[in-house]
Amino acid sequence: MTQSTSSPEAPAENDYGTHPGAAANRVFRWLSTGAGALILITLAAVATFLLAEAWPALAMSSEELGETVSFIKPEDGQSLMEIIGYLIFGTLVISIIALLIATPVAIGIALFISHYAPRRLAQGLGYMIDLLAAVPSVVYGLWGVAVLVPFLTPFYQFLADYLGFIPLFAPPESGEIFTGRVAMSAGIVLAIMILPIITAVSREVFLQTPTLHEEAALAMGATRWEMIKMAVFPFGRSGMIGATMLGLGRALGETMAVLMIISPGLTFSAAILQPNQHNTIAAYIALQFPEANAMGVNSLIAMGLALFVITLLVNMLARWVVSRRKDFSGAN
Amino acid sequence: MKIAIRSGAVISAAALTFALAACSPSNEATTESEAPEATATAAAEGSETAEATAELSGNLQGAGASSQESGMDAWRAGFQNMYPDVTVGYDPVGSGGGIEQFLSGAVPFAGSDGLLEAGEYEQAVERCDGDGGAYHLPMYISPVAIIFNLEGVGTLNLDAETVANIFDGNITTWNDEAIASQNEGVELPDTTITVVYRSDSSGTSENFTDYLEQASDGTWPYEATKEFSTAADQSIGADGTSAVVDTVTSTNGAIGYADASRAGSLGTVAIKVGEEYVPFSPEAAANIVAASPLSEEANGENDLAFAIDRTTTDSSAYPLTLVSYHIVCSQYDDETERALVTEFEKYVASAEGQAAAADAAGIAPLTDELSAQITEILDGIAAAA
Amino acid sequence: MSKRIDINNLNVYYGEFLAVEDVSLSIEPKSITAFIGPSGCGKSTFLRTLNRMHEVIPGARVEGEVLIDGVNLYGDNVDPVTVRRHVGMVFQRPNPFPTMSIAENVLAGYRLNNKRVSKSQADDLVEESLRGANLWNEVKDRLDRPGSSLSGGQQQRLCIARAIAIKPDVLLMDEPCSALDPISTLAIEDLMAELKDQYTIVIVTHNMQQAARVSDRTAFFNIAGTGKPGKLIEMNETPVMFSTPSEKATEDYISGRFG
Ligand SMILES: Nc1ncnc2c1ncn2[C@@H]1O[C@H](COP(=O)(O)OP(=O)(O)O)[C@@H](O)[C@H]1O
Ligand SMILES: [Mg+2]
Repeated sequence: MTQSTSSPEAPAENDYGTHPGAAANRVFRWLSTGAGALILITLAAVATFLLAEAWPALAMSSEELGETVSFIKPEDGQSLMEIIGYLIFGTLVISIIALLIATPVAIGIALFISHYAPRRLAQGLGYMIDLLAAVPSVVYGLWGVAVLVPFLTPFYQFLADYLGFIPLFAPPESGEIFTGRVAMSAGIVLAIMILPIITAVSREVFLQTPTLHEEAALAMGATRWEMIKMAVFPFGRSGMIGATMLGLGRALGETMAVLMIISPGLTFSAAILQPNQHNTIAAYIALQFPEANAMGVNSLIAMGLALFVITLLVNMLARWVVSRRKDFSGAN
Repeated sequence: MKIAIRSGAVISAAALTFALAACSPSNEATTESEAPEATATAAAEGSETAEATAELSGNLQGAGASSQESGMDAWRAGFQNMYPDVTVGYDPVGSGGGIEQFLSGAVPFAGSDGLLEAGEYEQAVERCDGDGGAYHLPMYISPVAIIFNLEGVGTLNLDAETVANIFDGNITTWNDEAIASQNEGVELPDTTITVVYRSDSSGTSENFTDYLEQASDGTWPYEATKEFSTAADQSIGADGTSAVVDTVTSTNGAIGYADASRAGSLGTVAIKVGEEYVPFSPEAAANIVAASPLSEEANGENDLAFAIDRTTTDSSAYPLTLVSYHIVCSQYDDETERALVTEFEKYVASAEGQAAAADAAGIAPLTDELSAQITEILDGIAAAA
Repeated sequence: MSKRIDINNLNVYYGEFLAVEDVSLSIEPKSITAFIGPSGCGKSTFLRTLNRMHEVIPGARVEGEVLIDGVNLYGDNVDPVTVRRHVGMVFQRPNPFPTMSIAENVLAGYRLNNKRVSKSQADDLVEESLRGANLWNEVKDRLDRPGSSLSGGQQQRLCIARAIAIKPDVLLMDEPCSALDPISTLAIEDLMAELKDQYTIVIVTHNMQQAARVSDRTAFFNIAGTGKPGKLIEMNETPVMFSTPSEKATEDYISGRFG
């Protein structure tokens, strides 16, 4: 006390000045701010890298690029931009197939685990789902090619025979499904791959539905399914969208399984039972990268940039969907 | 940049020498002071060329074509056996990646299924010490087999036009007249033909399409390219040799192409050369290389960049052959590096090295003349200017 | 619409744990019955057996009978879902569905029974129910706002409107005012007085003034100690219970010497 009065420049000490946790609190604040900034920096660094590396290919004239890079053929309607167009289309087709299959099944499984299954069974199922998530994609690819594709081919033939008039299920010209290495198979394998993540996240969300709301529904005389529609789904809506987007993210970027299964092609065809029609950006990059020359690598990075942008757009779309009915969200 | 990488390589080589000496398995001495001497003795005993062995040590790293991977494994083992103080590494990143690493100075040699392009030749002049640029050495000669899965049929005779028509979808059934007329006595079913091709970018596709383009008299409408394309309705693209072989094996009526060593029990095509049908064989494959002229873009007569003559009428040659090269500099200022590269490549080109790769990967061993020519070129690779 | 309830020898379990033991009592139609007692004595547990909400909790079960106009809720051929459509419930904490608008909240239960509701029918029902819950004037201009935008007291009345929209025979309320301020509490007490003309109401409360103010009959529950089952100590006309209870424990509790 005497000290503080003797040196007037130093801030006056009083009983309310500081407390033992202050330093730790400050350190933690800097740490967490730093971590947050790191994310932004990383994202910016990735975007900058992609743009800088893609630039030589993007800046070059189409003809010149065609002469330098073996897989770019502007004269055959496969300039860099056209290829990127086909690949975005193929990536979306395959990912959407995967999502359309995986989402309902995953939500069904998640609901079963969270609201229907006896506790023991729910636990076992949960473990199994987590296990599926840990299987590397190469294994899915191998399994897809060796087991699933041959198994599915007769089923595709059936689809083509009876629903072939729909462009989606149109068979190859001969009318015969001679191979199962098609977009549909890739989509199905991807669906199985993204099933665990969608299931796990949805299950978590469903389990967090406030008992209060569940009981409100039940007490009005709702059946369990009605209760789920009334309380669980609305509450878990943004969680389910988040889960689906996580799955979509994985589907968009998945390389090995698609690579091993699909017989690739570059078209805007809707025919998901025909080979040589679709390919994904990631798989295309993997197919071309090893033999690509320097400018070829630049071109492939331009495709990677496209994938990066799509992923960003998909995420923004998801956020927009979630926020559109923010007032009504279960979060308050 | 270049300098930094060089000196880094030297330092790591030196460090490796020491490390290898210290932990060589043949080292019987246990105390550190005795270790170097003991190693030298043990190594000298292990080889006839005692002089060279004593000098050669360090780390040799290459990168490039994955097609050479199993051959490279054999060469690495054989060479390290001769020179226990040397470690050889090969990163099978693909021809493109290998060339890129070579041109950037990251590796002293590259493996490549294709030839350097004009711009890459220029970069090589800059990359290599002196002004001599880079050389191609055709170390890995391997016939490509046209494989098919047709019950009861083991071999078929086909000329290049027919092969081109099949692979482009103009011939769609196995009992087509064009096939039948060249294979009298063979029972051909009316099975639909399924064309199986490499969906990835590959040297095998490039050699195969080059053969089709050159030999089919214009029937094959596309240029030679690493990316196979076809108008065939019934076609399947598969990623890599194994997937092609698997797909052909599992698809009745399928036809495809793959490194001959992988043909296994599948049916194979004898292609028409001159007036005869020639099945693939190591000798015939080696002969086509020996009989071909150098590429017009080749960097002088020491650059053995062959323009394979697919149109040959010499029936002792099999023109559907893949030549994979080792690309080396014409001059290495660093003596250690020069010695490592030239000694390794001499071993690869030797009868012994070629036989090892023939065992391991089914390559066609170089003819004696070509082997001798390569050795001579390697001897000419200079150290400092 | 209102019905009488007779409970005979009811034991209520959570798994192996006996939470409420051997309760028998009767509840008159068109009356308000209050359950009072110290925390943890099983009031809520017991209340929830009256619309079979108890069994929603895993492992929970019941022995004995609950008769509504003579029909045993726990008999064969009784679907708990149907039971709950006849016996409505209001919870301690207001729980409107946050994702639904005020109007949708009111209609939520009604829609379960009537898949197709015309616009005018729906409007009428919303108004009728909200008026019934004394909420109409406060919310009539913002029926399409989320239910969670209301104050706590308004939310609780919305829950009551939601419960009476399905025109139940019985209305169960578990401490409906414990999360509310005094003014909202009064509003709800007034509402209960109005509702008893039409409904049989059972209310759990730990507020003795409230029990004294609103109820016709009062039941006192107690427990001997933690881990012991809750029991019905006595039940009588409310004025009698609060002036001359026959049990010592009741008197202690009411006079504040206990709990
Ligand atoms: N979900 C539950 N699972 C197990 N025991 C419970 C559960 N809910 C309440 N109990 C127990 O049942 C007894 C009665 O609780 P409750 O009915 O909530 O009492 P009150 O409403 O009178 O305060 C307490 O001992 C409590 O611990
Ligand atoms: Mg309670």
